[in-house]
Amino acid sequence: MYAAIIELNIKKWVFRLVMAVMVVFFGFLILKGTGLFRKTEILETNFQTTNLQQVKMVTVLSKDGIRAIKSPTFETVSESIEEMRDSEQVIGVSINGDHRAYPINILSVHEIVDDVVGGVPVAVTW
Amino acid sequence: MYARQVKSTLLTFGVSGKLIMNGLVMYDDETDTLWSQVLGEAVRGPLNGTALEVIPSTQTTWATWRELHPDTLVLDKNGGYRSDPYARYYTNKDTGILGETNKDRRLYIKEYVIGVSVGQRSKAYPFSVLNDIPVVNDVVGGRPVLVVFDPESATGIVYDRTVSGRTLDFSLLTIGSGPDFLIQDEETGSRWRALTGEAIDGELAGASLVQLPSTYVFWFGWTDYHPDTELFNG
Repeated sequence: MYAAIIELNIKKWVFRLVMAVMVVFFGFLILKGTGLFRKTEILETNFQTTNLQQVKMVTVLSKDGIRAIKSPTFETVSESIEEMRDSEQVIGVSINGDHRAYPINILSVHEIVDDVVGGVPVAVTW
Repeated sequence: MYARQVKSTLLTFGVSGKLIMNGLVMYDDETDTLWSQVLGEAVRGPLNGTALEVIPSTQTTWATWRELHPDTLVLDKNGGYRSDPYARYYTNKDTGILGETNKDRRLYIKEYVIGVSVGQRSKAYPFSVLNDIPVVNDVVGGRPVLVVFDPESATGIVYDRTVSGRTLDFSLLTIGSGPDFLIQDEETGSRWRALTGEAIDGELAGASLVQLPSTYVFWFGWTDYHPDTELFNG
């Protein structure tokens, strides 16, 4: 009889241990989702374009978690008729007579396009 | 928009996954330097201290850009990208993923502004004011600037209003979207296309205004990076 009771007790504690591990694991995932565990660094800065002495840099994703476009391809106005809507937002640039538009719908997803416009290598960033 | 050539090195930028005040931090393939996308300046790594050359660009609607530049190319959507994943974000009250760093309540957090910075001086021109005053002659950081705004397409462009050493003062002739938005300089009476900066007739016909870099941005984002910004009130 005692053997049966001991076995039940062991199962109870194994069950509790498994539950505890699951609570800790999901708790960790939830807290991670809130951003509490993001790596944060303080950088001393000496910017030319603004007067900020110190900024906080937070790691939100891994490198290339968002993939920049490094080999862009283009269409003419007539080739893009089906895909472009009149009212949609674009970033437009003109260099040496070369005019190009970068739809915000694409930039919102990829953030950066490395291109060459009018012979000048540029980074279109969003 | 930034030039990728830095002295003798051609850089290719990617997304580092880090943020500074909701602004992207880029890395470059060649040196692994980290760069603030908002400021175009390095923050860590071998090229720390370097500022990228800023190239002026314009945020506008596809229809307006196409009318201004019929021979334009457009980045290929390859059948996708039918919507903007941030559509809801533009109108809700979230201030980025990380929230605000510098709260400046002169304007509502998500009021759109055209931000201009010259050296360390900066000024913001709210769309709500530009709607009523679409041609602004101003001085930012000692530089004479012209701000033009087409309310219909919400296109704001900033130029240096000095031509051949002479500072010009502009007034509105006809408001319109695309090539019909015309302005005139008081000094010579020449007429200019506001959204391309080209003079189409008068003494200065054929001249071009130099476009200055500017940012189409929410007020809260602008004040995070430029806490001392001036604000144009009309």
